[in-house]
Amino acid sequence: MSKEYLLEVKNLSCERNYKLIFDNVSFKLCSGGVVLINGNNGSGKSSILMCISGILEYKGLIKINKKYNDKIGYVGHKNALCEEDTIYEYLTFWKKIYNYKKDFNYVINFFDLRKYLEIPIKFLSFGQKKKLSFLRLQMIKSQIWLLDEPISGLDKRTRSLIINLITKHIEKGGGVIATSHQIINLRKVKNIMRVKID
Amino acid sequence: MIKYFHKFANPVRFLKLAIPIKKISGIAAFFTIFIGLIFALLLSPPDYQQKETVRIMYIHVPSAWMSLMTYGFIFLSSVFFLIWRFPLFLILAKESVPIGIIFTFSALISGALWGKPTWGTYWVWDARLTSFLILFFIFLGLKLIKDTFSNSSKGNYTFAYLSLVGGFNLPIIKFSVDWWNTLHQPASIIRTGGISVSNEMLAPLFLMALGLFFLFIYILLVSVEINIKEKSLINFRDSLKNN
Amino acid sequence: MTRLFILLLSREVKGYLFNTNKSWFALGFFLLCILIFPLSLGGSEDLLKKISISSIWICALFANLISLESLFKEDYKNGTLLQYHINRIPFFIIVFTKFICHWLFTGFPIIILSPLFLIFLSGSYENILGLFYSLLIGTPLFSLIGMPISALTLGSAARGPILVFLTIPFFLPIIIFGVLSVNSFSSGSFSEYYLLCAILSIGIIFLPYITIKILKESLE
Repeated sequence: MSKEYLLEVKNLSCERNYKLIFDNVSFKLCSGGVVLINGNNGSGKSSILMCISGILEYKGLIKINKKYNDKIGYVGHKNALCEEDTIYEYLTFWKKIYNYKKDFNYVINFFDLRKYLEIPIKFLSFGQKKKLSFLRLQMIKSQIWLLDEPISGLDKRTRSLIINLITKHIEKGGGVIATSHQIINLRKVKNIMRVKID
Repeated sequence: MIKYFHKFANPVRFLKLAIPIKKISGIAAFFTIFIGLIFALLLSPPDYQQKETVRIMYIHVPSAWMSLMTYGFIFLSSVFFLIWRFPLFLILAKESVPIGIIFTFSALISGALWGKPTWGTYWVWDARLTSFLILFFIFLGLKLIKDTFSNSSKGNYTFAYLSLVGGFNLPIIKFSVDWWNTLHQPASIIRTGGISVSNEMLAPLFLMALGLFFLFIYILLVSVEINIKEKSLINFRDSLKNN
Repeated sequence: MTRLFILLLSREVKGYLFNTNKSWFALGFFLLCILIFPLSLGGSEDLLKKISISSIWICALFANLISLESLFKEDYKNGTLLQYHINRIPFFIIVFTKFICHWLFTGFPIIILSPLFLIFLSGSYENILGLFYSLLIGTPLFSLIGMPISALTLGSAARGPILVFLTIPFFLPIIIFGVLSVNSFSSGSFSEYYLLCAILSIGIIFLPYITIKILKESLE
């Protein structure tokens, strides 16, 4: 493989609540590649992502290639949404945090959220909140995306939207690590690696 | 130093070492407390001022010493845990909390019972007493934290940090209450009623203190043993589930 | 860095202002607490005069304690703290913005209103300035000490009771020195003020640091 790697994980093991969750997980994430982590509930899929993002303590090696920007985008179960804010406030806040210079109009249209802009977040549905999370992800401008169950609980339309987004990100040269117990249908992506943990 | 700790930081190896110590200290605790009680209750002379009530001292003073020592122990093991991250230190710290509660409680109760015949009141808002009461509440807080986060590693740091902050806070509390006391209460009763301790009284006092110390070690090691075995049992059960 | 600080601070202030519960809760609780004292004394003016300073301090303590619960809760629950951590936003900014806002909405109004309540509780006029200064040093200390404990109890089921139980012993020195300082102010001695200032200057360095440590541990 001549391709540059974005992130390398070697012999990763993690202990939580006095229990070994997973042991000896190794994979490489290349630019333009996808790593799908499969496994049953409670097998530690989310924990791998949390190790990579630096929340959990781990043993082993996680190396992020410094040539690219080493920012990490993470979408988990918690959407980091303040219930009282409107969508517009939310977006401008994170835009300023990430120092995102471009306008987010394009992304809003992409997700079909234009008419909800002034609505407080507490009135939104689960799927719409998830969309907002992905909107935030767009603004980070990171190469590495960590997606924890990105498509579970969503309807067909939103699912295809998000898969579109992922494919676009990969075509631009980014890398995605996703966990899922459903099958993510990424037809256009060639470089898919599956990691199974038990 | 670290290497030396490493050797015993492994719980299984620690148990191997601890079980004989546990047995010895259990026997030692029984005999020293037994002999100490004989000395304290029968052989030692009654005080010329306080008469027979002075015998409460043989329970009160050692348990007060022991409760302070227990807190010091918790504090130190939390510090070691935070520095070297050996879970064993945390288990030691956690398991000594209930013992500390018991010692503090018995010191408070026996102090109150002793206070009534000698000073005429059960309780004075004296610096020493007040800070001891606060020590009791800090112990209770530690127990609360220990129980709410049981079986989750998240509570580990919570516990260690809390005992750390509490350890720094205790001298401040003592100091502040002292300050408050000297300003607003003319010389407290305790200091005027100083007891001259003769050798005949000192011997059972130290015997009792030694006995309680052995008792502390014994109870601590028993509960640590239970804790470690429980954890290995949980791991064993989970490994059964997975296969 | 300053840009981030201002951004987070403005968001925090906004959160307090527009969430009416959050902004008025502490002050409302303070008023309600103050109300208890005259009523529970059975109309004894003399006694009320004697305990006026202590009662204001006690109410300030409880108002602070009650509002500690919501300090990190929202951000922890919805995962904002997690995102801050992943996106490498320095935690000391977050902790300091939280501290400033918490003081601004619980300590500050109480300090401003304290002369009024001293008179309302028929305290003497000489103590107004002393009380004002002592609260000015004491209430930030309450917020500072409460912060690590509020962070400690994140994620536990019965958070409110535990928080109260753990925090009060740590508040005791502050309230002792606070009340004493008012009493000695009228006689021209400032030793307790200096002590409170010393505790504040030590606390403002170490307590946020401990809070950051604890917050990072609590994320997992």
